[in-house]
Amino acid sequence: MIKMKKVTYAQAICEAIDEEMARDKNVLILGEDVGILGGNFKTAVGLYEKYGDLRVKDTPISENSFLGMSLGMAITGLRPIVEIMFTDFLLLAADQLLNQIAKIRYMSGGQVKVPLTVRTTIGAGRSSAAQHSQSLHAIMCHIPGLKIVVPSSAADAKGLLKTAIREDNPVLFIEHKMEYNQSYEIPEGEYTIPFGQANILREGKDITVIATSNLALKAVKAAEELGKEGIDVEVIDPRTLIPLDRETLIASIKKTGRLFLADEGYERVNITSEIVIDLMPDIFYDLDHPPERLCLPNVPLPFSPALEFPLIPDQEKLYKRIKKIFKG
Amino acid sequence: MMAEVLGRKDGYCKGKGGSMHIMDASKGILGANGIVGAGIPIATGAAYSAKYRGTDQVAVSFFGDAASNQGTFHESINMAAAWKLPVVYVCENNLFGISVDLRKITGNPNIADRAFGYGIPGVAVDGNDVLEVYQATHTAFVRARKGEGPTLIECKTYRQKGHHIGDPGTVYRLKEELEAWKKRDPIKTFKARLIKEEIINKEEVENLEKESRKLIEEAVQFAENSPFPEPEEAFEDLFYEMEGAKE
Amino acid sequence: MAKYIIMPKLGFNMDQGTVVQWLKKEGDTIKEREEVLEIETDKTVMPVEAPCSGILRKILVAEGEVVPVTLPIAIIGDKNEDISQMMEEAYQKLGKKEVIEALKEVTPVIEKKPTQEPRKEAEKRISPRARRKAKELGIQIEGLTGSGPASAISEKDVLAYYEIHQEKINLEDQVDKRIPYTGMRKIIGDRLSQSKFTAPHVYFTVSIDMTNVTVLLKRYNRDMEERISVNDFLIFAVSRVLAEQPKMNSSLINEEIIYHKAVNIGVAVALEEGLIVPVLKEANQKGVSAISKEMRTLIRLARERKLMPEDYQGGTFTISNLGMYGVENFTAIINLPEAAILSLGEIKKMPVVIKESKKVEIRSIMKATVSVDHRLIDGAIAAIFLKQVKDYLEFPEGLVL
Repeated sequence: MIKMKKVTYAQAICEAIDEEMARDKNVLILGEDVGILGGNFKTAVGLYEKYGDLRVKDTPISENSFLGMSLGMAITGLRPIVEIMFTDFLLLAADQLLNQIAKIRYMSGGQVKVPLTVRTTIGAGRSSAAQHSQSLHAIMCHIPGLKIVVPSSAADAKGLLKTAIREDNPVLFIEHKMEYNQSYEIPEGEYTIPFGQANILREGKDITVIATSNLALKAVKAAEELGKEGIDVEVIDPRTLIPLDRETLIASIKKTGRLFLADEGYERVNITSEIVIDLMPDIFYDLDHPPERLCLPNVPLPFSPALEFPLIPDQEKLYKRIKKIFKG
Repeated sequence: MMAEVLGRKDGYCKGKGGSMHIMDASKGILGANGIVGAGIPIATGAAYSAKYRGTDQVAVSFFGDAASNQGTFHESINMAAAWKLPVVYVCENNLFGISVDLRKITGNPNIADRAFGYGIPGVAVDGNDVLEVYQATHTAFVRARKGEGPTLIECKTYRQKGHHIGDPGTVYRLKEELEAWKKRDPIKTFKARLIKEEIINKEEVENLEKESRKLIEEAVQFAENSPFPEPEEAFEDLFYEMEGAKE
Repeated sequence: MAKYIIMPKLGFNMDQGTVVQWLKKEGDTIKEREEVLEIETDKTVMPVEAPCSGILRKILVAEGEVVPVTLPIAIIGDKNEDISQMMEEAYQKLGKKEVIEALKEVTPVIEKKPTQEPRKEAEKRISPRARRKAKELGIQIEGLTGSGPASAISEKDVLAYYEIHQEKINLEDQVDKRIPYTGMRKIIGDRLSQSKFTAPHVYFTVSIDMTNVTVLLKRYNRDMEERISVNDFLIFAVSRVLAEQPKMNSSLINEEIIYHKAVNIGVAVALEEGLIVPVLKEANQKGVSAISKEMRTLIRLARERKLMPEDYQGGTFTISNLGMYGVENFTAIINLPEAAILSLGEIKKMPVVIKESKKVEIRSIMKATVSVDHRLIDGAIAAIFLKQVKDYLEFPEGLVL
């Protein structure tokens, strides 16, 4: 029986970083406001006091260069964690992330390895508008050389982040900004969750729902409602997009014959597009209904809550869309 | 190196990097870069790492005058200066990007002056004078090792040929300027100086040149004898294989 | 040791260069790295340096010539060295034995393929999973109905069907009866298929008040030994209309429309093994009695399998009557190369509104449908035909007067 404790999502992240920094003296964290402030989302609270200036570094607003610096650190013996506040800002560091970090091991013929973790946030819902609310993880999945991790719950976030920090390859770790202040139950003590292992959050026989980040949790709630209508929904959290646990997803779809995907990225060229075509050779003859999905519509996020909320994928929309498949 | 440039299996990077991404990590050569200016922050990070680990290593970042206008130049030097990192920034100012004259696209073409803006020493030297360059570098290293921070060294020089193969380098340059600089060729002038000051004699010079030529020919031979990598190798070395890892 | 000067590859995209100018001539002394000639790539003129010192022994390529990269263009060597071997090899590589015209690459003109017929999709929408299940259970897709969106057939529909039919199959004889598709059945089948697929069939139906005809015949037959049937009268009436309206009595044969002089009416007769259509020749020339007599003969011969080819060939129009089976209305397939066929249903007593009196009376109504080949007959023509047939049958005195 695992003992559980209640923490916020931000605290769970902070614990992971703290534990890894204590475990390995080569682990350091850098980013804007991670030091004195303890992180804009409170993900580094107390670390500056504990580990000092050299290991918990406040950076200037120079995303591309401090990400490049973290690469220089990673290939000379250190194990940096870089916090880039939003995926929107990752675009500023696109060269270092996608042309350098993702490729340097390959270009060097394997001479170096890059034990680097880049943490960033996705998600809308705070009226942060078009440039602070995007979920751009799909873009990063396109470039070979990165591992992409998208935890759903706080418990998963902690375990997956520890694995990411210990991973000797570049990992992009995607946190959801709306989750930081939410409280969750997580196991006590230290634990890690391996990459490439999807998590079946709820078993069902009528339809497979694959949902990323906190949409997986919303899908479980929607599934409970749908269960009352006699629709038995299976919800799977893929956890890591690269590497993707194809076996678990395929087995589920073979069982249910129906596939619904949900992701908060824009609909066009979404990660769900990739998952469907990736799995299609293995699931085509098992499908009883064309695959469907719920994503953010192809518009920038507007400021006003009256405009923003109707766009964001949520429990209600999941419920309606899935119900429609069965009840027409 | 020759094998890598010819795309052979025995190259430093197993044929995967080529001339633009050549690297020998074992010797601390952290790589050439295909993106102008991208190496500057990486070098700065290596300097941070040296400081973090408490070694007396110094990182040296080489780049051209054109890279000094890339954002990474400014961001990196700023951080290196703020945190007193042991790094030396060496700018080979040969006055031209590919075809664009630095003087036409830069407000202040004296790159060394920029150091002032970041609060670090900036020194301009005659890039064609071997000893002057050596001296400036030595000073910068001493400073770095003392924990006093970075230095910007601008080596003023000139590009005798085109930027890349197929660029005659004449379309965008004045013939007179080119001829004047050719006379200041560093190898020629240093050779002449050494001979004049009787540090070395003509025969010894010839022997050195012969040996160098031999080394190069041997390198070419080695490269030409090295096989091309197999197509399957294209899928290797993407990730470091961790024990028990699921790919 | 003699060496080649080769056409250098000065750029990723450079495949060949042009010799612009030789700066030295044969016999000149050259120093290593001295510029020997100028070449032109598609953008610029570049000098080429000598790879070694020596005498420029042979210029292999003239000014203005275009040479692929890496090929030899000159030889540098000692004054008295034998370079004949090098020259021969060089000329071989340069292809100078004969003039080899570079193949002009013609951009192939891709003709726009006429858009292919879209694959005839089964009208039924069925999911891959359901299709697989149906195959597994040996169920024909044609028999399935879908309960999904747009009537799509899903797995549960297949399973539902299987459950129902499982019971039926268990009751019946498990073994299917099989016979080869040959003989008369096949001939009829082929002919009808061909007709349906070739002639664009259009159908027009009319309700005919046969009361007057039936009264007339009843009166006539009362005293006669050989009775005249309604069918005989129909043939009589239709033949007159065909004579008046030749378009209905035409054929399309080999890109030619033939308006037949004779009106030869085929009458469909059902036999056990299939349909046969004996032809009553020149029906328009014969009176009702004559028609009646001939029909009796033809039907007897048909039933006795004694019809000769001339008895069933040469028809220009066909009538098919299924009224005796209680069929209200049907749409027959045209007997090519005829232009049309008339399908007659049963004569049924129906309440009808009489126009003049505005009263409802019980009348004998028969539905007649003409199937026409729209290549030959337009709607108006068919309508006019039917109207005339109807008029003649409703007011038979029109046929006499």
